[in-house]
Amino acid sequence: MFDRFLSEREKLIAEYRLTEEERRALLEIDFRSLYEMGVHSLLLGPLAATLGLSFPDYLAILRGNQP
Amino acid sequence: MSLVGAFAASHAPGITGRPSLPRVSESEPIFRAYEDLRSRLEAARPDVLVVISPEHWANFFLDNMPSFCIGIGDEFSGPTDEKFVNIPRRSVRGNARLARALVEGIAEDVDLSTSQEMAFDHGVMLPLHLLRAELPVIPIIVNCLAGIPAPLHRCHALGVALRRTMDRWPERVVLLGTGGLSHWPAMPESGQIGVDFDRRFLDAFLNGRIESFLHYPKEKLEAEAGPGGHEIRTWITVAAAAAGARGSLLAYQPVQAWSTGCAVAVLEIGEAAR
Repeated sequence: MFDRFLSEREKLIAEYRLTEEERRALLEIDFRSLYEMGVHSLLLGPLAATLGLSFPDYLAILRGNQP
Repeated sequence: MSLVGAFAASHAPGITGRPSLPRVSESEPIFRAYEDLRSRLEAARPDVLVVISPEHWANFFLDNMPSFCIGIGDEFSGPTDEKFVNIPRRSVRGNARLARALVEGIAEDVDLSTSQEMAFDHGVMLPLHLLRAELPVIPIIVNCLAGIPAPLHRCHALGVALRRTMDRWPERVVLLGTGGLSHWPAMPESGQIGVDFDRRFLDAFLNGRIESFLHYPKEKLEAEAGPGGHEIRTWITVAAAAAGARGSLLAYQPVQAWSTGCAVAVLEIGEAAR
């Protein structure tokens, strides 16, 4: 699932019943929106690390301060 | 026979993922304590290491989230979150025979689910990495994460059942609980640390008074120790298995840059029990 999220996100997302805003947040990997929608932080933190985002930058995004 | 060590240690991903982010005066006590723990692990000469670790989405999701799951396999791999902890993925030996015996013993008192294909996240792999432990591992994964985690007193019952079962074995076992103490993991509140909670919990853990935490209200726990505070479950299991043994604190350090009240501790099982 995680590998598919990284390699063919659009196709994966299409398989789920999601709102327009949920789809957008997932496609753009909008960490702050995803967190506010209720995605668990221990899914988001490791995802940020996998994408090469530093932990302080990731936290800044969650807090609404774009790094 | 045959519990020869009862350890507990924080597994904050930052310890290996962001080792240089805290001040050295904050990080050094934790690295030193892990080195100390490594010496104690060697000195205990265990045949197998039973690791009690929280789940962090490596094996289970909201469609199926067991309270307790034991890994019955001869080989596992991890970490699944290798970039988060900066530890290369590798295979880890298990011991299916002993794990099955453990389930059969524990199941007399506590229901466990079992898995023959388990992956490890930082909860198991970070301590193994720092301890440079190569011995076979029997993992017991505890839900401290989502849904309805087992009540704290059930984690105590698990520890009692673990000890009762192990005491019938000729093998030498070290028990390692990982996680905690207070933390708000990877969330906007990260960096907040419940130092007062951590110290009170450690005092109970180290002095044979873990019973005082077995009915700690969920809301109070989350307010004082964060969502990560639920991971005291693994420490409670270790304390229960050590059956009131007193302990030593190898380090306690609130490390903001690792978002965790980090602690490393041992309970003295005593020669009589060996």
